[in-house]
Formats: sequence, C-alpha cells, structure tokens
Amino acid sequence: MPLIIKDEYPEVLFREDGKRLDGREKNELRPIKMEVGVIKNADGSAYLEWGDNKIFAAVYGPREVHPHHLAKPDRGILRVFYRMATFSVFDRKRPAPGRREKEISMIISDCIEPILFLELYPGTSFEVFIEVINADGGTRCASTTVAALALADAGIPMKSLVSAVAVGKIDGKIVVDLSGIEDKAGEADLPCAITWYNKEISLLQFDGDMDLNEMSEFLDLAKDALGRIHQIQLEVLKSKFLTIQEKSDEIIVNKENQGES
Amino acid sequence: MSKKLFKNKDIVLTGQYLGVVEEFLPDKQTTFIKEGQIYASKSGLINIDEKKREIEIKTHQEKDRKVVRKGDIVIGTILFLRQYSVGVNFYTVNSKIHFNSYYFGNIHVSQVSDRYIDKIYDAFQITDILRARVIEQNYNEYKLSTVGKSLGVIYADCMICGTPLKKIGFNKLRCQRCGNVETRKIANDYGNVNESLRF
Repeated sequence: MPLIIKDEYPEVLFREDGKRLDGREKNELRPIKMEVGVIKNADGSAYLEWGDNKIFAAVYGPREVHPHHLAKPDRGILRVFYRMATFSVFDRKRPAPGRREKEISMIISDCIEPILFLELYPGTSFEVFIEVINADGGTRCASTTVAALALADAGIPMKSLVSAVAVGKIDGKIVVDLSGIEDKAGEADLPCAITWYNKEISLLQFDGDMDLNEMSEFLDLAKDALGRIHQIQLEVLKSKFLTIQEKSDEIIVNKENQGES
Repeated sequence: MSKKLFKNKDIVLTGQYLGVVEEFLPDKQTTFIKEGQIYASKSGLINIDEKKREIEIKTHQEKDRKVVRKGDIVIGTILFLRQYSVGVNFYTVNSKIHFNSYYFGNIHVSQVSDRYIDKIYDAFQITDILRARVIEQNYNEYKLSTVGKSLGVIYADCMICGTPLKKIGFNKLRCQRCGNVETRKIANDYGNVNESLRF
C-alpha cells in the first residue's frame, strides 16, 4: 500500500515582520555554495548547494558518440541527463526517468547549447550528467547553473557562462528564488536563465497566475539576482586556477634553482 | 599606447574581454571574436606573445583530450588493402588508449614512405599494427602518413603460418617457423616497442 500523505501548506507565506517563512527578504537568495572538480573520473564536474538543493554535475567530452548513428558529420551533439535520486524528495521517487526528467533534460540542453562551439567538434558528443541528491524547489535553475560551471571546468570552449533563477509570486508579492513550499503554495513561478555573452534569455517557463504588466517587474528582479549568481560562479572558477597559478610558479622557481646549482 | 590589460599568467575566465582584433592575433581554440572584440572561451592562464602579437589561454585540460587533431601520432591495425591505399582503424591518440571506440583513417601509397613504393602490398598487409601521423581531417575520416623513421609497421604476422615476423633488413621480415620473407615499411623500433600491445 502506498503511503498517502495529504499536502498541507501554511496559509500565510510571510511572517509578521514582513519576511518570508525562512527569514529571507523578498529579493534575497538562499545561501549558495559551489565547488568545481569534485568528481575525479569526469572531464569536468561541479557541486552545488543552493538552500537545501544538493546537486552534482559531471561532464564528459568531447568524445565519440554511442550509439554511433546519433553522430552528426558537421557538428558535435550535446546530451543532458537530469536525474533525481530516489531519496531526494519526501516520498520515494521512482528511479526510472519519467516525463518530468526528460523535459528538464531537454530544457537544460536547449538552454546551454547556444553557448557552446559545437561546430568545432564534428562527430563527437558532450555529455552532461546531473544528479539531484536533495531537492527543495528550483532544481531546474540550480541544475542549469551547475551544468554551466561543470562545462567550464571541463575546459570546453564556451562563449560565456549561464545562470538561472526562478522568480515567483506568493501572497500577491513578487519574490525571488522560491523554495519548495513557496513553489507549491504560491501563485506564480517563472524560471529564467541568461546567457551572459549577449545578455539574452535562454530559458523562460511559466506556471500560475500573473498579470502581463508584472512580467517586466519579474524580469528586473531576476536580472539583479542572476548577476549575483554569476559572480559566485566566476569566483569559484577563479579559485581553482589560483592554485594552478601558484603551482606553476613553484615549478618555474624550482627549475631556475636547478639550473643555478 | 594604452595601458596593458593583462600580463602573462594572469587568470582569465570564460567570457572575459581580452582586447580588440587590431591588438592581437587570437587563438582559435581558446578565444572567440564578437563584433571585433576578443573574448575568452576557456578559463585558464593567459599567454601573450609580445613579438608575434599572439594571444592564447593555457589550460591543463589540453593534455588528456580524446579528439584527434592534425599532427597526432596514432596506433592502429590495417583493415583492408585497396589498389592505391589502405584502411586503418586506430585506437590510440598520442599513446593514450581511446578505449571502447576507434577512428578510421586512410594511408595513400604516396604517403607510405619517402622511397618509391610500387605496390601497396610491398609495404603493408592486413592485420599489421602500425604507427602513423594524422595529416588531414575530412569529417569523420582521417588521412594518415607513415613517412618518417619512427613511423610504420610495429608488429606483423606471417602471411602463411601466422607466427610473428622478425626483422632482418631495413624493409625485410622473416618468419621464424616457415622461413617466408616479406617486405614492409617498418618503424625503426620494430620488435622492441615501448607501447604495450594487447590482442
């Protein structure tokens, strides 16, 4: 017998002091922690903690395509596999990839493809594996963000990074970065992603009730938040190369010392 | 003269502005041009050649790439002989095993050796293992060449009995078992190859 639990959400999503249930302001993001190079066997990898979301991304490529008939003679192909672990949500999630996972894989693939130079790698494939260990609202945005970071870590030529965030409306007020409860109990939800080399929107989905005039307000709020996420991504990427830079200096110093002696 | 944006070994990040096209000759693999301006397409340490005005980004990932480029040394087996060329399946790129797959290449008779070769079967036979250099890419087929001392056949079996052949001259091999003598384009390290060959 499946365990049936009725979803119960709080009626008011704001506290008395005007803050949200988890103590955030309206335009405040959940705490974000990122890391690159966490998976040794992959060409590039990244780990993201965004609030309670915990997501791994691993990138392999450019490498040969399997099955062979999928290979394109004039350009490479990008394949994204978004998966959720069975223990990632409150109920048990069935391990087979379902409609939702296939859709999110396609969305992330379409979102990332414009920033890659696929025409430079004919007959090869780039594979991005995204594994959601713990989910708490906004996993498609978090997955897009971490996938872009893993691609950059793999040394794949890219025009720029991609950042994504969800904007929504809860209790009639526009807020940024919806958590799991706000996503389900709120009124509207608008995930959007931006490619930074031309500052164009690369992903835009919508769910709920919204006035058309509110759209620009939503996007202004998102733009501000996306800038902050992009800064975190760049800092993480830079921290990796700082250690490489130090090591390369050491090697040069050692070589000079050997030459003198 | 405007002041320099970067000095050597500065860290640049994906999508960062590097300069204008009048200033530098950009490297195609690591940078891209948009509206006359150069941007980084990889993260890494920048390298500027002041004399040649070349700009490129050095990354640690270049060493273990799995795609074939011009100039790579590859090892493969001969699939079939044609009238003027041979077909080769190659499995390693720069002595790294490209596991679970292979690439296909062709060696034309004019690219076998710097000496004159009359017939292709004077140089190669089916199932020979050889070392070659990539000289051209053409979609998913590659043109290979074995011109050079270190390039050529590194392992060959006897046509009659199948035992490994032994080197007796610069292009002659003899079977230990049946005494059959064959000609090949042999690499100079035939018989004591550094790479471990698996069958």
